[in-house]
Amino acid sequence: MALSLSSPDSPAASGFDRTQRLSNSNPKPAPLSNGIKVPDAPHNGAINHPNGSAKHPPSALLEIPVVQPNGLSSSGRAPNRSPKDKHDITLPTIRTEGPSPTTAFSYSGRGTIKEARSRRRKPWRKLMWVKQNYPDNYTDATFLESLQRNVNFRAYDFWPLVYDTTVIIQHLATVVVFVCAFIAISKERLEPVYVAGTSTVLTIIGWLIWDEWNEEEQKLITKAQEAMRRMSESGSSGEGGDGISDETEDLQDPSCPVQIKLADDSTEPASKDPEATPMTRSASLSPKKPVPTIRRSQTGGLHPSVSSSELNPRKTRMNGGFGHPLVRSHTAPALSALSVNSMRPPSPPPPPSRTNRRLSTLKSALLIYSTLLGLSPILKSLTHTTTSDSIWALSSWLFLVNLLCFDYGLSEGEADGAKKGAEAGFQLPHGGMGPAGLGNSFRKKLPTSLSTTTALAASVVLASRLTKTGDVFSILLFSIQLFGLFPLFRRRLRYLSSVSHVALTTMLILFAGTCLHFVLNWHWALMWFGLVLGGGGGAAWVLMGMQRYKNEIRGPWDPARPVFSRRQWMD
Amino acid sequence: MSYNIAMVSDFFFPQPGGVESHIYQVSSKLIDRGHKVVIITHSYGDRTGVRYLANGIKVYYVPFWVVYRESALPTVFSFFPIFRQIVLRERIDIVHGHGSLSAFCQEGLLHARTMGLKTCFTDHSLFGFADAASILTNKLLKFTLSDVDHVICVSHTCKENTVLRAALDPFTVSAIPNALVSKDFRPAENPPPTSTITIVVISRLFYNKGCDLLVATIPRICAQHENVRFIIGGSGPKAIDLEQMIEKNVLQDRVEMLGPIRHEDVRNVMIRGHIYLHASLTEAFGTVIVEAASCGLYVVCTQVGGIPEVLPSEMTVFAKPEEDDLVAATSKAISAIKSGTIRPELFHDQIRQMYSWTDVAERTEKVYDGIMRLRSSRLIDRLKRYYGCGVWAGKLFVLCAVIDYLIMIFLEFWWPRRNIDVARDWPRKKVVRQVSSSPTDVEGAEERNGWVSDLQDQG
Repeated sequence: MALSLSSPDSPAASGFDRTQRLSNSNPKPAPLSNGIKVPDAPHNGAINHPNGSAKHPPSALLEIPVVQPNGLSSSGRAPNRSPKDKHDITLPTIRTEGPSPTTAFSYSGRGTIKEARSRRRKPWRKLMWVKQNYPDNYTDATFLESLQRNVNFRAYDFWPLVYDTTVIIQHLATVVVFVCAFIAISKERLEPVYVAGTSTVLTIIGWLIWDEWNEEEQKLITKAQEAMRRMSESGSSGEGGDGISDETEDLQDPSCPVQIKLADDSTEPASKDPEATPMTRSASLSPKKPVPTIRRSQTGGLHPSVSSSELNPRKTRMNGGFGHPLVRSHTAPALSALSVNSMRPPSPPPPPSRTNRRLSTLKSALLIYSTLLGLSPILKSLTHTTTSDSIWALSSWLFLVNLLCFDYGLSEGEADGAKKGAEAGFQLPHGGMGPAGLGNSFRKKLPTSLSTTTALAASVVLASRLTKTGDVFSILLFSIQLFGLFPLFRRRLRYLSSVSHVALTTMLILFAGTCLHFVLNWHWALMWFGLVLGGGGGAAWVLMGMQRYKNEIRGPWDPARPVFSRRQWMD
Repeated sequence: MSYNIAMVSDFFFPQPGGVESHIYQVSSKLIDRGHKVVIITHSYGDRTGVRYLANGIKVYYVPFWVVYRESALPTVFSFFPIFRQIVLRERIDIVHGHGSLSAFCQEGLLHARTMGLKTCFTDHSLFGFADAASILTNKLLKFTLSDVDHVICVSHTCKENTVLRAALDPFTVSAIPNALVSKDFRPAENPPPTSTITIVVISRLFYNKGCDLLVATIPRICAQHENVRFIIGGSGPKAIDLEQMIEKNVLQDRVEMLGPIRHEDVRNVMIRGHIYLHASLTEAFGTVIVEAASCGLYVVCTQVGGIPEVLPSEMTVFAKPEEDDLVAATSKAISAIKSGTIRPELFHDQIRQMYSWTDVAERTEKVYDGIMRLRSSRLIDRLKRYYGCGVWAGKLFVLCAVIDYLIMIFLEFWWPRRNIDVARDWPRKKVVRQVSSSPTDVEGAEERNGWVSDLQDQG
């Protein structure tokens, strides 16, 4: 009884070889590139068994690999078939075990090994329905031919990875800055007024920049849409082009006196159109809102057939607006009424005018400010009966949750939006509250509420440790600005300009380090910089290093992904 | 030489299914060949204890906890005492496990190795490598299979998959197909007229059976071809999608949903149709398309998993798992049926020669012959093999094997072998133990070889 597996050393060898052969058959998986097939011929052969490659002696142990049945097929198939070399891998490992398990099998019904070899055999085929003159455990040279490794492999580069970590570091830095501010205030080393004052000034500056971005974006969108419209209208007349240029001029000039051309609607023949009426109503609902001039309506008057259908979306956009998150609530009813009546595909509603937006922002800012002011005395004694230890622990946990749940999304929403925009025919550089009628992407762009909530909760419990109402108020105001508004700004900045994003990150890192140094001591600052280096460069480096070990296997056994034609989604 | 074989699996009668019928048919044919077969499975409802099935198959329904879809709770050791009892009572030589998701099978193989028995394992399904469940199963499989004497897979693709999953030596893995009882799948005596083409779909209605593709393609096929009807058999979570599709496209008079179909009724449904449509996304073997072809249906199927190996190309139209391609393939099949260029009624005889359980049992027997010739390995060798399974897993596996061994020693002490009664065997059939003894077999082999070579020449 010839027996393979019983030789004392073989099992371990086979055990190891089995795993090694498959999991890292290639000791240097570095040269992975897209769709490399596993059996990387020369490498594997040479590395794994220098002596055994490509010329297996017709060993008695295995009939299989030696067999390339008739010369024709072997010569015909071998060159382009790397899996042949797969056997170069497997064969030696088996040979170490002594006689292979297959020797034990006679498979007499299918012809013994000798018989098979002497007879001229047809090449083996990977089919079950043919009765082939090969044993059932025959392993052909084509074995695992269709195996694919690391199909979607994408090699990371160092600097892009580091750049991607900046988002995390930015958020870490804001948390560090906040904690520093709290410690400084509670230790009475810093007047709370300075904290709140500085941050408020910075916030206002940030808001002004934000506002500017909105304005630019608006112009771009208008231009793009006009260009689109011109394309669709081309052929009707050259007049359309004039109207457009007029309008863009109007919009470009913020100082242009705004006129409400509501009268146009009623005088126009198109106003009898039932679609037009809700417009007028909604416009009159918000009469205080200045609406930019609609010169188009004149064009519309000249071409009544065009106007009724074309004006509506424009007018819709006049009233509804996504210009600022706080404005939404005002405009929502009008919007919904409109969208119900005018059965139009969601066309981008325009933001309210600049002044209007600014006013409403100011209003909500005032509201928050006064609410905080009113709440501060209550919050001051909120956790009076709780020990400080619990508060430290609680706030640590809350900040941890905040860090974990924060939406670090790397330009996903933007990419989506841009894609949609591209599909619609124009490119939109909307990173923030861009209108573009994309309610979903708008929502997506708000940082996840959980992280914001936890950050605010953490600051509330921390603030309740403070003794003076003014301190509480300052720290809360600071936290709202830092955790509520600043992420929005950061995100949009990152989208718009990577240079300023990096600059902001650097400034934040340095500022956080300085804060730690002055509020605590230089040990903490050192640790902070270490963390930044480790989290940015170190982690990227480790990730790149680990990529060598990526070994994703694909093959015909994977469930297929069904492909549907687009038609299905259209209806 | 005849063996005492124990088939161990979670999946067995009364539950219907491919693994179940495979175990039953192979066992039955092995008994015909003079072996003794017992089947060990977990209890199904009040079906507990020992039962006999036709042909003297003895089934042990072991009371055990069932966790999910008739899989037993994976406790590594708790099955050992009763397993040892059964094995000793029945004087088992070979333990043959079925189905990689069966905890019973995996445990049984482990204990059998501990007791020094020969083991064999049949894998019936394909697994990916990406999701967590697969990774866990694959690790477990590596554990049990690293010490199994031989593995049987139902197709070559399945073999490749199993070799990768369990890190096996490909030469210890055989590919032996499933089969079908061809007399249960005869074509209709009076084939339905081809004025109206009927397309049959019989499968469990799950995502991986490609129900989404069916939902997408059926309305398009109905729109393209006037006289086409569909019959859909089977149940599952995707049935609701199909019903919605029917209502949305107002196809009530053209698509008939039959609901669950018992295996013995499959033929009656199939012979009502001309074409069998199989849109599965993954399939190790696809017995159902063989059954359909045997019933004289032209098969349209997606080219996934082991399916391309199963049927010759003149019986099938292959399609990519894409909506457009499937529609095109079905249209091709419809026009082929209408023009009469293919003769599906001839498929039955060809299938009969391709697949039979007798052949499967014969090939399985050869595997048994092979593993019975292997010397059983010492514990230390087994431990070495387990140790090679992974950095951490290897140590864990060694620990499990050692504990299993200690349990066996304890059981030998607590419940010695001599105190265990030996069960009386069902009278064995007298079989002349020569492969080519029965004249029909020889004929079949001859015919088959001739036919195959013909086909190859054509191809």
